[in-house]
Amino acid sequence: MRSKAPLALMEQIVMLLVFSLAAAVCVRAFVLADRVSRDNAARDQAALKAETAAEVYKACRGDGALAVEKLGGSVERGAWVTLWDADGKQAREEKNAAYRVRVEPEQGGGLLGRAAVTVSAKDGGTLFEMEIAWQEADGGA
Amino acid sequence: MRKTAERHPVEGVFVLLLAGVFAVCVLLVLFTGARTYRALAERDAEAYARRICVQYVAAKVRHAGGPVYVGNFDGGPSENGDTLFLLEKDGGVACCTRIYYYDGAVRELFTEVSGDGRFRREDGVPVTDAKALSFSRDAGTGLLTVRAEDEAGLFSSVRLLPRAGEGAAP
Repeated sequence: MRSKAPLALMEQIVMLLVFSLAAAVCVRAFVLADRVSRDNAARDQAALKAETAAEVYKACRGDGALAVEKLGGSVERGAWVTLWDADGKQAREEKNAAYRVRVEPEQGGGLLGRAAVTVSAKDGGTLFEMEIAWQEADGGA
Repeated sequence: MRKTAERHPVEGVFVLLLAGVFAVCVLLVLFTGARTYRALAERDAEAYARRICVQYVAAKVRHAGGPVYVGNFDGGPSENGDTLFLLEKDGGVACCTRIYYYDGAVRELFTEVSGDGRFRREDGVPVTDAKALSFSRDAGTGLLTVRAEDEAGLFSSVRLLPRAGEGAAP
């Protein structure tokens, strides 16, 4: 009787190859899911930061200097910029900032003032962006 | 009598070794998957807990049909306080919704304004778990700051501009 060992060996090698392929696909899916989850968590915080910046900017009627007085940050080439760390506190330096919120005023039309709010991550990628508008003058004016 | 082929012991050992490698790989992938899933679930829960409190208050303020002011639960309005008061008329009756923190939860208490002083902090309905919640209002711009601490000790804050404006205390 001939030994069945080579056959079993071949079978196991094929099995291992197929498994390796499946495992590689799985691990790739895990890594992707992890990255998506991190992005979502960062986007959640970015949305809150954008919301805060939008409300402050609207309350200040598009006055960047007043917004700096109320919430901090700085005005860079007409845009109001605030930096936040991962714990949700304001960061003084760019290197400590996990989120960079930039409110760029846009040309408004008539009674409305407009601005674009962009929140970017440390690597420069955009996490969240929104357009805001507010009434510049009294409705009855 | 037939002569049986001699089986080399190394072949059997190798098959066994390969089966072992396969089992280890299966376990490794399983553990990696389980660990990744646990990390995802934890991170999602953390992000939810961190944002839900301030988002809840923000939604309440945005839907408020009447004046909104900050104060202390039993006191009048002030620039900083532990309670947010949302005033509204319900069937012609002046009502007030209080949002505040008490005993490990953010609570909401809806009462008639005339009934003030008869309610205690524990009367409120728990809405979400938290560790702290505070409010402040900028007198100049009217901006309302909501600051919350979740159960894990992570802070979250949002600033809002109530559309209905600042109201007088009842």
